[in-house]
Amino acid sequence: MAATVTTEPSATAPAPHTGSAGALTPPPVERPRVLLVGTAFAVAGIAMMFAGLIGIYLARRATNLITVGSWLPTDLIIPLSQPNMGLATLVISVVTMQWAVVSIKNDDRTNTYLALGTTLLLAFAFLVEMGYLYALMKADVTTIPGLLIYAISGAHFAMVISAMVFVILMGFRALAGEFTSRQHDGIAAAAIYWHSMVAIYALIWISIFVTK
Amino acid sequence: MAITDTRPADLALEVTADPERFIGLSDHDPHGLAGLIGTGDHKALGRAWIAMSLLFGIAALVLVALFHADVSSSFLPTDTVDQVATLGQVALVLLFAIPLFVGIATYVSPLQVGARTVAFPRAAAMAFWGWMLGSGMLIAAYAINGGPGGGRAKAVDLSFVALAFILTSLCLASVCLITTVFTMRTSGLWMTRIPLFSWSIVVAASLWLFTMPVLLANVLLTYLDHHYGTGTALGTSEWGQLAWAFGQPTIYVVAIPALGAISDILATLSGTRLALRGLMMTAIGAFGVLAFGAYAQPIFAPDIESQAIYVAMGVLALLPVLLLLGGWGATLRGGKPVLKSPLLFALSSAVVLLLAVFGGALYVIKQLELHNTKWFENSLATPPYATGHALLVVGATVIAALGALVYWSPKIFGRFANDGLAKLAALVSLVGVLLAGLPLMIFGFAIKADALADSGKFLNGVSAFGAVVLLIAIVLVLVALLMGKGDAPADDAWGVGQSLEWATSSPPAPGNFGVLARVDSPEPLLDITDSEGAA
Repeated sequence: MAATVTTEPSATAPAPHTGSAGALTPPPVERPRVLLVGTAFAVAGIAMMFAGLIGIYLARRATNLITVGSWLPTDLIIPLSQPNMGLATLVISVVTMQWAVVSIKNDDRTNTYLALGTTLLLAFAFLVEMGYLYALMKADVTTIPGLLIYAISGAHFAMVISAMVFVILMGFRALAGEFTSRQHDGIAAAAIYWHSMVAIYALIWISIFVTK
Repeated sequence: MAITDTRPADLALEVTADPERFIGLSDHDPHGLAGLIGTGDHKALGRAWIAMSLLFGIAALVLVALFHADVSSSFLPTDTVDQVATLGQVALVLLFAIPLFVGIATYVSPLQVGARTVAFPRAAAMAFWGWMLGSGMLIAAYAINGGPGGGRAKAVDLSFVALAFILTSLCLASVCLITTVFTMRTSGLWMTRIPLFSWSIVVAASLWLFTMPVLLANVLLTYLDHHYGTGTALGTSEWGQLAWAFGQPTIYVVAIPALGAISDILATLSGTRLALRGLMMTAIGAFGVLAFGAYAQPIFAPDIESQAIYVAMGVLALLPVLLLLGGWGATLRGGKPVLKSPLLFALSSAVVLLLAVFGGALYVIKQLELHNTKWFENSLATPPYATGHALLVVGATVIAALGALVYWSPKIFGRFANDGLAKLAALVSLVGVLLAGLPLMIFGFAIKADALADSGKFLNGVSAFGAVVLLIAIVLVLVALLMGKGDAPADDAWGVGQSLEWATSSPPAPGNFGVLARVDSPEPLLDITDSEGAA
């Protein structure tokens, strides 16, 4: 089957599209799902980094339990209330983030902004909870468990902040009118990033804060 | 509630009037340094990646030559030897081989899939500048006595920060490349129809994205442990915890794009469609899967050499390469190969790659004790056999990359490379890589053969010479490109192009393409030739 390929250099701009009724309609989305796919791959990379970090934590813990018989130093107490509250907060933020996606799919812009704002508020609450946890546990960074706990939870702390920045940027783009029920990849991509961030915290919660 | 309640009504008209603004296509040709710094044009970024990685590659080969020359005739200060060895190894992979293919892919892959630009142009630019910054910091850190095991604490810290920059930037570049191929293909160009180079980039970038973040996790912990802790958190030396990324099987991730480049070059210069295309794509994917080695780090498995999965993956890596060799042979037999320089590069790379995977299969046989030889007491550097193996893998990659540069030179540089000089460079690079890698692999048998124990100095001297010969090959390619002829070659510069990069001007105009018709096969340009012949 023959394919014809024309390459007029000046033809980089697509011609305006005309709808069936002859009225001007927006052109089709030129880069479908670019942000969505890019975010998914970026998330895969980040997940691998956390897999590496948590894997090293668990491997080191297992080695110490075999060779020394203990893992956490006796003066290092990790309270559970703050990590539990942190998880609960983030789980609720998953709901609010999804609320934003559903709202923009329905062109309900008021609810979209409300949902994004609530999500950011919950994330801020999570950061405060983690800060409080740090203040309470006072892990010694010169010990191996302390160093690993700070490294892993600190990396996640940074991921939460980057997720907030992502949501804020997409919020501004929504305010500028870039997202509609036809094209809402930005919000959906932010949601993918957000949900992954929460899933990674769940892993940290079970492998570090609960298992200890 | 005006702006927050309803979508601005006139936006639709605005998008229609100036669609390029909304799809990030303002890729005017950059002018001067300011233009380069601010550009998101995939062609300018691709050239920048290529130029800088070749420059770093020359430096890396000088370091490799220095290290082996020192093992041969001890002239470097003792505390410097390990630094030269580790920087040489890191630079070969993270500053040279991978970035060189990132550059070629940043330039070529959007053209191959019929895209107007690379996905996320600003992120692609950020990846390049982040990598540049990290590379500069890494060299500076080593220069002031840093690097793993270095003597100045702050310089050691700086080298880990630099590595983090480099790895993050390469991951970002990988995301841009994969997303380009996945989402920006022209109509009809299904994933099963994309050129094999773009397919190999999808596989390679995925593997980079699955491997480099794990190395980044190690770098992060090593940095924190060095800066705040006692240096014992990972239970091994700083380099010991990072070295897995530069050895078997992870080193194979470097070579994946070479498989695609060889396939495209052989098919085009044979003037025929690639034989066993589906099988070839599967083989490249399988090679990628077998190259995943983030599990093979000492903290997870101190006795990794004894584990069945490690042994099995090392041996199985031979299979996809043999399949690919079969496909390449069938393609050559089915067509009329033209002995141009890219073909010589492709064949040389294939030979070295076969030797490398065969050597890798030997390496995992524990009874041969190839892991146990050391350069000298307390040496940080990877054992001789593994170093030789890594040099062969990186060498095969570099030969293929040089061939790709010559092959796509009409598109990238707007002129043909000088074919005679490029042919000479292909042969010189083959000799250089074999001389650099094979003697070290032979030396790896020293534990088994007493006669080899005394030949270490000679074999290392030969290896140092091989690194210099490879360096000369790179210079020859650069000269061949500079002495190139044929300003403004035809769109289909080789006259037998198959994929879409040969359907646009050489080099491509901003926006790359005009209106592309639907693609109906993996070789749309051959379809046109065939239909014209039939008419």
